[in-house]
Amino acid sequence: MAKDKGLGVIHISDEVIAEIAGRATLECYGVVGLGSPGISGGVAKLLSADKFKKSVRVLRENDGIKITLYVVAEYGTNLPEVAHNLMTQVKYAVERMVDFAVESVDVNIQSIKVSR
Amino acid sequence: MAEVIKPEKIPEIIRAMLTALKLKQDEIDRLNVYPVPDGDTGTNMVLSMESVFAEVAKADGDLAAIAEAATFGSLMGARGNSGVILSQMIRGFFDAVADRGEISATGLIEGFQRATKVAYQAVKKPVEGTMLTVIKDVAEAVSSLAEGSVTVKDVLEIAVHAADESVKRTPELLPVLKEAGVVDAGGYGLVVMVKGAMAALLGAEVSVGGGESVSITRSIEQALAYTYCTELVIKGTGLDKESFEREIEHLGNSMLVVGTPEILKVHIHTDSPGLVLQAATAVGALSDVQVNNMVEQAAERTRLINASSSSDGVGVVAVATGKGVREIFQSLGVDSFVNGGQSMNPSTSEILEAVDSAASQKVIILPNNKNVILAAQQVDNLTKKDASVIPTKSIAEGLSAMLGFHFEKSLEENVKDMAEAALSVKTGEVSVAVREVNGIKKGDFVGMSAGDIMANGHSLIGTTMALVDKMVENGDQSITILVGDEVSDEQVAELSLLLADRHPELEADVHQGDQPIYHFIIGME
Repeated sequence: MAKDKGLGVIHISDEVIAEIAGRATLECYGVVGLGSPGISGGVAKLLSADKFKKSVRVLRENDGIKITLYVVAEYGTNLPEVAHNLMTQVKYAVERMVDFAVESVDVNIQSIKVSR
Repeated sequence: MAEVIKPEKIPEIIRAMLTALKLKQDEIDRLNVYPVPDGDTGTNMVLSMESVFAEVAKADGDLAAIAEAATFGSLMGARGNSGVILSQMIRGFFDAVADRGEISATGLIEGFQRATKVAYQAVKKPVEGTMLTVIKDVAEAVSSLAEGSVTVKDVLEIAVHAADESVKRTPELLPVLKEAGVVDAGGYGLVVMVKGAMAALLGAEVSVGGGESVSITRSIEQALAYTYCTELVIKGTGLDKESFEREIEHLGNSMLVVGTPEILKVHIHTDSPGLVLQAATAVGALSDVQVNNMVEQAAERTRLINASSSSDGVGVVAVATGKGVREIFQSLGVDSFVNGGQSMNPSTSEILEAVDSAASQKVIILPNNKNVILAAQQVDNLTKKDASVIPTKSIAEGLSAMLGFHFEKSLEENVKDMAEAALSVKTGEVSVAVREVNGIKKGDFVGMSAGDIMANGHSLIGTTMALVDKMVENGDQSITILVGDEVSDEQVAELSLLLADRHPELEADVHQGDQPIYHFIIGME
């Protein structure tokens, strides 16, 4: 992603955006882990924080950034509401830090964790 | 006071928590800066609790049924982050008590503990300084009671206190709150709910005070004898209008009860809506309950009236505590005040409220404390008015700034003149050391100027004189002293005599300031 601020061009890599989105995801209430696009259903692993690039996909479009998230949620929470909060929070975090419009945030809840 | 909470009491308690939230809904909305500053935390919490109440009101029977209803209602009604967190807390709480038949003190303690556990397990990286921290602090505080023989009321009292203290610490834990000069909105909502539950348990009215801005123009508010306009509908059979009137008439005025033996509509102005609701539940089923805070509504009206008849001049809002201090500020032209000062910093929203309710469209803010300046500077972005801050770091600087104030001058001229006037004064403050520091014992008096400790000792007057001696420079002509609320007349007389003796060159001006914390506030120029 590039921006011209008059003196030169600022490049912000997709990894940076993925990192910001990933961190915001892990702070979102109801999200207990990250999933991975290749793994479906109940076998999603609880990935650690340095693997954002598997769980956060960033797509550049003319109108803005499209972000796709793969997450594990907590059993017993209102999943649509958690997903909605996640969309809002990730959009806010990315737009605030990199000043690019986020066009969409798609959330895939791949698994739920049942705490005792 | 019951030793335990019976299941049939729970809907009433939840109703009171909801009512308390509604009363503070707008205030909570205004605090909302994390995780997304969209100003809807209060609204989300109200909507979430409405769903809980709706389910619980439908449930009849034992605690297990009520617990299931509350859990279901909170899950389905969860709105926003605060709502989802709340739903986990409610699920955890009722999980711990569902099989007990009734909620004892021990049950309540375990309820808070399980609420914390369940709330924390639903997030990978919990952010501290939010409502999660508040419930954790509450659970910790009540856990210490587990061994003793305590009542439900004891536990709730500790919970209210712990929640209050915890939410005050949230800006220290979450920088985004500190920057905005607010406490965490969800955490504050939790405080309000616990207070509501407490009120219901005591059968008292739901009132959750604290931290409101005080405006001098209170004419309409003062005219109101009672705070809450309470309206409700009672459904039942054989309802007796007259006997219900007798039941509640002593609780307030403007009472109106109309209807049939099957349905009564009740309207009353009261300070105890809880008691009215209680009386009503005793005779039938309630519906359409509305409790409105008329004081707030009146304040809003006053604000609108003031805003529409806007004045051309410049108004001043000062952060100050102490009757005498305020009177002096008022005599110098300050329009309205926000409670605050050392160790009780007002929030941006409190200052904003005072600015918005001031008569003028152009408003100058005097923070009068270095910890308040930041919060005050946020106000200009939030208000439709023109607001400017003179960054006064003490009461003495604020008073000095007011000497440069002229109502009819422009905002820009005033800002310039007042900032200059504020700088012309040296400030000294005498207080008590609250902890041991740099060899100064706890309880000793300390004299400070420009952020440095200049004098200390066992004697108030001795310390004050030592501070004055260090502050005096060639050319100083006057000293103004504001006397705090803990200082005796004898001490003031002694100080005056010593000043006249040791510093005859200074013209001394001593005023009763009644401020807390500072025994003396000194201005010298």
